[in-house]
Amino acid sequence: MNRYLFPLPDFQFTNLLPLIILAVTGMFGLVIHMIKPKGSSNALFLTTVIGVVAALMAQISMVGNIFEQLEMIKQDATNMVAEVVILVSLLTVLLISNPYFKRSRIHCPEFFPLITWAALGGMLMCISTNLLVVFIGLELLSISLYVLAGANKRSKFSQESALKYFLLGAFATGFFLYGIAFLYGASGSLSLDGFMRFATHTNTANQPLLTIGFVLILVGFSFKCGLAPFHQWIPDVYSGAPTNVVAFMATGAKVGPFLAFFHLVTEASTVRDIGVPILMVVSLLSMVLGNVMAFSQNDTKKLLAYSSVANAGYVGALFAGLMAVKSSTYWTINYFLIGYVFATLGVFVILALVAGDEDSPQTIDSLRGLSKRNPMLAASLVIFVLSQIGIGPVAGFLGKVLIISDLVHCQLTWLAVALVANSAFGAFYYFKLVRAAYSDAEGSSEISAKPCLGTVSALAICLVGVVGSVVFYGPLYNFFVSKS
Amino acid sequence: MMLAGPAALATVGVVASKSAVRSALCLVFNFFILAFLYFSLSMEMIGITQIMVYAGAIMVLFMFVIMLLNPKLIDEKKDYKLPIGLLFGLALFMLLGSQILPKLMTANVPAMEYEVGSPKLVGEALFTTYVFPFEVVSLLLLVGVVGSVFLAKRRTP
Repeated sequence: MNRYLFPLPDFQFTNLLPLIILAVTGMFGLVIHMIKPKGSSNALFLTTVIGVVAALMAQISMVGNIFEQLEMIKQDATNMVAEVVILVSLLTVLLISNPYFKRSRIHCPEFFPLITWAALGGMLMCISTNLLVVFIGLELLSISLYVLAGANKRSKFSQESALKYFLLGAFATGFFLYGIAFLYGASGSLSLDGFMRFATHTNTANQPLLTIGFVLILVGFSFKCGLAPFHQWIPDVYSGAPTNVVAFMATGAKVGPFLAFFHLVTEASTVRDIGVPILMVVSLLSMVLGNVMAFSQNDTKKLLAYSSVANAGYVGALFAGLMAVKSSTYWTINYFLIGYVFATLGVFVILALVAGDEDSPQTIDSLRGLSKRNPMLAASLVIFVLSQIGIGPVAGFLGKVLIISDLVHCQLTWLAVALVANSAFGAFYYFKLVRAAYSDAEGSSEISAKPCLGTVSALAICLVGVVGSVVFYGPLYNFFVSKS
Repeated sequence: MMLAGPAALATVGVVASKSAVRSALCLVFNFFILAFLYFSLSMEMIGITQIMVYAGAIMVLFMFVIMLLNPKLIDEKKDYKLPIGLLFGLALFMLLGSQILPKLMTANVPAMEYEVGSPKLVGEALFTTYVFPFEVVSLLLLVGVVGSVFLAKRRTP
């Protein structure tokens, strides 16, 4: 006899172990802060790192474990790497956060739980096949980051960036939600493959609704991923928010939206006629605007902000290609994201190390004389920058090659040519960073830049990510293909 | 019709009245009528939520804000934008109305199965099909609480 009024859903909690660990870690952090409000940052830091490492272990042990639950969450080959990437970038950011907070005298114990939950939101976006869950994941991610952007309460810039991020982000969320409502109205389903099912049912009357819904969702995603006409918030928010928060915003927090976008693009072939041109224009605009604007920046964080816009443009080009040929090759996007995330994180680790007191925007001059003070740091900066430009045996190069070959394969050669030209142009401003690091110190560099254990290990993670993913490209690829 | 008329009047009242408190009262009235509209469509769950969330919680918040800010009555100056705005508004209304109203006139009240929208069904959906998003939303609320506490906290010395 059934004791319940309705059957309980069949739910395998063990499959969601990494997510549960992350959620509990955050709550545990809150409790620690409650028990010991003063000077709890070390304990908080340790617990959060332990929790994240545990979640990472659970996630890695689950790689290749394919499951689907409640028709809402699906773990398969497309997202098993992305989740690991999010967790590793979270770990890296945590490692640099404690010393960074101490150095710049920011008191923000809530940082640790909030950023953990933000990563949880990103992971939800990766594995979800349901727009409702994608939306909740997006909100979890965004709301945590809105707060964290204002983590530095003494800095006017930080407060300003938090407010800007919140207002514009809420606006974009409105677009996204409106789009979901349209899609639901048109297809009667919130699941991503609902479009496919709907398309086979052949009902052309609802096509305008589908189109409007898709375009609105596209606007929402473009905002969150930082694609060109919707990128205005990125430079301001990045330059104002604390460096470690920006490090997560630019890397781990981008993976979730990108993956969800990828799922949407590969499923929504019914709106291909309008989707492909829009994606082409948006990606081209992102590449060009991002690179051109980055060229004239003197503020390091703004420079990286525009560079992230350009990188989002490369991914957008890939999406356009995927949508044009109804392909869903997931290896390229996963590999590109690995390269992008670790190279960007690496640059941010170094920036956080040389950051001043955050009361003013950080200029390129703060990197001056880095090679004298710490040759190792300068050398790794060169590696990260090379990866960002996309030359040499580094992950960024292979990622771009994969995208270009995919684009050519999709008969979008002109977009591939634009990508190459843009990458070449990007080299100019990336080299500004390296030139500053290898030039003599003049005046404004009294910061000692003495890396501690956490920073060194964070740097090591990034280096392993950037170089290792090239060295072990073959095994990685084989493993990936065998598991899918 | 019996409900829609007063609802529209109340909405006009929200915009037109000069005193903020009076506007808010009109809004409460409007919310209640909307709730009755839902009831008449046998959507009890939405109706109850409407009264509890909007007429209850959100209006209390509005009142608090009005009390705290204590806005003065504003003397509006003559503004040349007003007639133009009215003109455009009327034109937009005509445009939309000419498209929507004829369809509405011929539409019947949708025949609803009685069960749809009942609290039992909504609850069942929440705890079976949508149990996962439902649980995650609780975490989202927690993030909201922690975030707002952090932002509202007095700055540490």
